[in-house]
Amino acid sequence: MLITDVLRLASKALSEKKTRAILTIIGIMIGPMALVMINGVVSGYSNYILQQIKGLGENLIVITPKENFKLGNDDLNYIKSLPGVADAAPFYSTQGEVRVGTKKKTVFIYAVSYSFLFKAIPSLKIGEGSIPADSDISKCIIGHDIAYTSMGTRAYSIGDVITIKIYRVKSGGKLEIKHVSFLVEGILKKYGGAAFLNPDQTIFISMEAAKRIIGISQWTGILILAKSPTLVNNITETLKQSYGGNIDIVSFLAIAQITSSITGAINFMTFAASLAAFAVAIAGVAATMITSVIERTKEIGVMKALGFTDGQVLMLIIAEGIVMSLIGGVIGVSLGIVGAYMLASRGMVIHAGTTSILIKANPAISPEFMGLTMIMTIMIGVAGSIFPAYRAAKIPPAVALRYE
Amino acid sequence: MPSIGGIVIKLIGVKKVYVTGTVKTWGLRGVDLEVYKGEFISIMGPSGSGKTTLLNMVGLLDKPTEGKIIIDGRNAAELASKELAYLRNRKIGFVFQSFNLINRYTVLENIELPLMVRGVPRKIRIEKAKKALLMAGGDLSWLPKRPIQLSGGQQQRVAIARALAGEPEIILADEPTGNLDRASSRAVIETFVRLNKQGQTIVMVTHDPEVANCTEKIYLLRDGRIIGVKDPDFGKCILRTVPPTTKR
Repeated sequence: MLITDVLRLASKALSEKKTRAILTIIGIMIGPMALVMINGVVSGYSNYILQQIKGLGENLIVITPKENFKLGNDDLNYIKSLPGVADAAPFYSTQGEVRVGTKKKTVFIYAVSYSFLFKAIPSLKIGEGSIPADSDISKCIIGHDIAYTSMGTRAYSIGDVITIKIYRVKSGGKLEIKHVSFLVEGILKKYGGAAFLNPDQTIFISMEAAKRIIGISQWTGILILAKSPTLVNNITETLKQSYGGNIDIVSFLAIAQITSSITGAINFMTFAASLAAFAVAIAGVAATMITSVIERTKEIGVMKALGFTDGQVLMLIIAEGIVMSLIGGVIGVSLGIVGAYMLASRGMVIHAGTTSILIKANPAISPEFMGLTMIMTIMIGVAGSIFPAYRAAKIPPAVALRYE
Repeated sequence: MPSIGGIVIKLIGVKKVYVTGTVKTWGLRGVDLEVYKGEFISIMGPSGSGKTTLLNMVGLLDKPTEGKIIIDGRNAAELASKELAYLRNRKIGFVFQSFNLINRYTVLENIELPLMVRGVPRKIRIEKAKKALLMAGGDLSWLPKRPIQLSGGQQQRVAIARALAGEPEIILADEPTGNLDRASSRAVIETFVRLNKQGQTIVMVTHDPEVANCTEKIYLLRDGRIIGVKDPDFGKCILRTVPPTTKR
């Protein structure tokens, strides 16, 4: 039998009982739709976060002291001497408030050696002006969203003075408000990402400026740059052994690994949940096909009388299941893609302390994944129709012809 | 008279018992039958005499409990279902009492079915289907229609065309006029007689003497046995008799 004939006869059989076929197809499409939608969104966010981490530098490790512990020059020298460490630099961070256009805006203030900063985060680029010298304590680099308002109008130009209102908790729990001013020497290009570090809303100053103008004496932590991402875990281990519970160690590589494993787990759970939908769909196809086969018993007898073999009858019935699952799969995957974009367009809000960051990531739906989903959906059609098809194929022709 | 050739199908001591639980029902109690090429025979008998069972045996739709069915030099009782399907497709064409056309297919597709089994390309199938429909006395304007749009007599011609499409050695007709009015019955029998004159072997089961008398030989079946062979009385053939209502 020609494959075109098989498909033609199968489609005709389905179009005869349209409502039943449509309901079965709806049952089939839920699995692939959910799978593509959820997997696409989760993978999209996962890719986004991983990309962010890559941009921040997979080689970067941040250590911060816990309460009652201080990091100093001895620690810095020790860390620089560790095998696998390319460089290390202390940093200081706090939050402040600046006026951008007519609005007040909360910003991050990072004090770190400029040369180290641009080496550790290669994706950070100067858009206007230049990088000031570390010794030039009066100058700063500001993020794109500080230089420009949300409407896109310029708030600060190179050479402007920017005044930051800084809140500091002093020893004894007293809150100190301090106004400090810097000259804008450089403006960063739009960075975009906002998951871990938000350069667009950050003012970078030198360590010397932090010490002399803001008046800080204690490092927030040390940034460590590994020679390669493969050495990050070794360095982390060594630091853990040396400092025990006195410091917190954050490596972006570890975050990337955790992110990957979390999204892997979520995707697995989605897959498991979809399997339930797929199982229900198989039952739906089987119910439809059994009814259809029983209704057509006499017709199957006629076909056998005309010379259709058991195998050809089997093939015709399975083809009906496959045609339904193909339609269901195509609709399901398409709706899944649409759904994934709709879900992703809502964005995801990450709350971190007092700041919350909205991240938006396009869903990641690969052709391979769509193909795999389609194969799984087609398997529904085969699995659901194989038993009814076998039953139909095995009916003796004389018995089938007598059936009323 | 068409020329009579060799044996197309031969039944030797064919018995069929249906077993339902502990109850045994005899379908056939030992039938010997030889169908020669070019013959037009009828099998007559009251209902329950085993006519359809016998036709199912000849048509390789059912296997005998005992006995042999020789077709193509082989005993069909020993063949696998795939080989039986092949023989049914190549050697046999069925015409049923209730036409058994598939209503969701067009007339053309119904006639094409035996050729689809063989994987014949569509173009050739359409040509053969047209030829078969014309041979069956049908009209080519029926081809795109659904069987349900046709009258009973027209549907039976389509069924005959379907049986002819595969160019079988033998046509088996099970009460082909059973569901038809007199005019349609005449047309169907006329078609059979014409096909037989062109050399087509036909075996027909009927309980209508007016139909049986149009064939060349009448086998009488009672209680699963052939109790006699009768020569037909052509004067009582439906093609020669006038229906009582139109008698003057």
